[in-house]
Amino acid sequence: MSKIKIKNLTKYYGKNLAIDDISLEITENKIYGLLGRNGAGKTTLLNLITNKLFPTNGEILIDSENIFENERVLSQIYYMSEKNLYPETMKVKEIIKWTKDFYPNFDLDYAYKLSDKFNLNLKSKFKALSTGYASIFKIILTLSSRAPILLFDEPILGLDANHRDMFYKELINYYSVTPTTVIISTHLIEEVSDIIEEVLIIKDGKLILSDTTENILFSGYTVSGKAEDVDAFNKDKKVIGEDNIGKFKSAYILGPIPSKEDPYLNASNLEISKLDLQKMFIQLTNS
Amino acid sequence: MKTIQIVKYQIQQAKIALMIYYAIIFVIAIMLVSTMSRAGLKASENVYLGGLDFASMIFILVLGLTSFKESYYFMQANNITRKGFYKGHLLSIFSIAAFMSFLDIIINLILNTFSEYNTVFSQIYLRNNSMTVSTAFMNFIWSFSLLTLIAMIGYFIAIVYYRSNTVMKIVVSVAPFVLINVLGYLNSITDGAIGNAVNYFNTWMWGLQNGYHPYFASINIFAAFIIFGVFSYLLIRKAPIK
Repeated sequence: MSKIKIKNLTKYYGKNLAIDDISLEITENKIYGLLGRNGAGKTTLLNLITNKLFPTNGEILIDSENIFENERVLSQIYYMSEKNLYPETMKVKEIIKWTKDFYPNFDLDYAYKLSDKFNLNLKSKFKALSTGYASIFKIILTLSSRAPILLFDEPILGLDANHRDMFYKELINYYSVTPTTVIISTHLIEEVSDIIEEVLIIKDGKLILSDTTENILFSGYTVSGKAEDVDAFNKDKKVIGEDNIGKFKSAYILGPIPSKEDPYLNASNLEISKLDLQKMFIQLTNS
Repeated sequence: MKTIQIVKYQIQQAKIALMIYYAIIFVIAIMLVSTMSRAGLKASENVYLGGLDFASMIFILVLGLTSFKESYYFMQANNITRKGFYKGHLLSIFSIAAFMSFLDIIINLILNTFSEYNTVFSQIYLRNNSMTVSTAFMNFIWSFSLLTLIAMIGYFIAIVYYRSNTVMKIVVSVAPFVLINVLGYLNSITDGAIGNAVNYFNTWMWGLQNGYHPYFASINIFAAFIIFGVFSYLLIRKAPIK
């Protein structure tokens, strides 16, 4: 059991409201996508969950225990922070060994295997790692920690397309073998939309959406075809976004997916496809 | 609790600095002894050596000043509670201070076989430098309490700087100089009353009232350690990651 319960969480930085009365439950063994624009409060929320920061109001419980200075519950989390918290002059291999001291279930062989797979030089000092390799290193520590709750804050920062793909595949492999509660905070929504099972969208410190990816994607649809046909079809629909390419258009619509037998669709050769999570996100977070 | 791992990490971080420090002290001690012997000087000729353990005080102050931020960040990376981190830090201070106090006494004993060598302790509290088991133990307790206090003061300063914003950092840096000048001024307008009070406090604090009382001094030093320790903990308790 590693259920996270957040109750009426509020965080002020001086007079600035960073987290605004958020209440939510993170159920165990699911992959959550924590989405939000820059400065929405994603990192603050993760820092609060890991006791790096302290809430102004509200509380966070893991397995019904308050996390405040609670070593038992905090040791169930490994947090891949965007900030580099590792000793700069220490070698990567040494940091891995020290991390094993603090996480008894740490899988040293897996960490070395992943280092090899990602071509991470274990003899490098931490400060010598590029932004991308620092992210890879932190990903390796997080996955190898074998903690029941893994939090990733911008895990793909500085990663090239190949490494991003490797990370997603590794995460899926890991998750399929070791069911774990995972929260990924990221900007690259399109890339994670196939991985995440639950979506949390934060806007201006408020949780504005918490639902399964499936429900969100089926709450609307994309219609594509000739621009005039799409416009005609959209007349009485709730359009959340449009893309134009020459005479063709794609529109993103909220509402029930029309049946394939819809006479207008058949007559006009319009195509219906799945809603784009990123479009949905942009629509919801555009003020 | 992961206290053992935290202590192990903190001691490991100080290990190389300690090794370099004692290597330098060892070289200095050899140079002193060889200079004395080449010059044909002996203790009976009123030539004294001493104060190498003063370097230990400076070393542990620097250790205290530098041992906060990096360790704190790494412990936070591993989700160690602040309480656990602080507890581990205290135990590592005690271990390092005990080790250094012990080694300083051993160096004292070795140097004493070649010439008259006075530790800071013997210069303050002993009328002659005859190191018996009981004076060596007294020296150990006094050095241990003093080194832990100095380490804690260094640590406290490091945390105050960490928790301060830019303006507060300037205030904290300037404050000692302002305080000294203000006290100097107050001393001049009160016919030396402030100076007398400071002297009285020092004499009392270091156990020099009505004789020599190093154990009493150790108790006072340890009390000061607790005061700095409590303030340090209060500052760490809700220290955010910056």
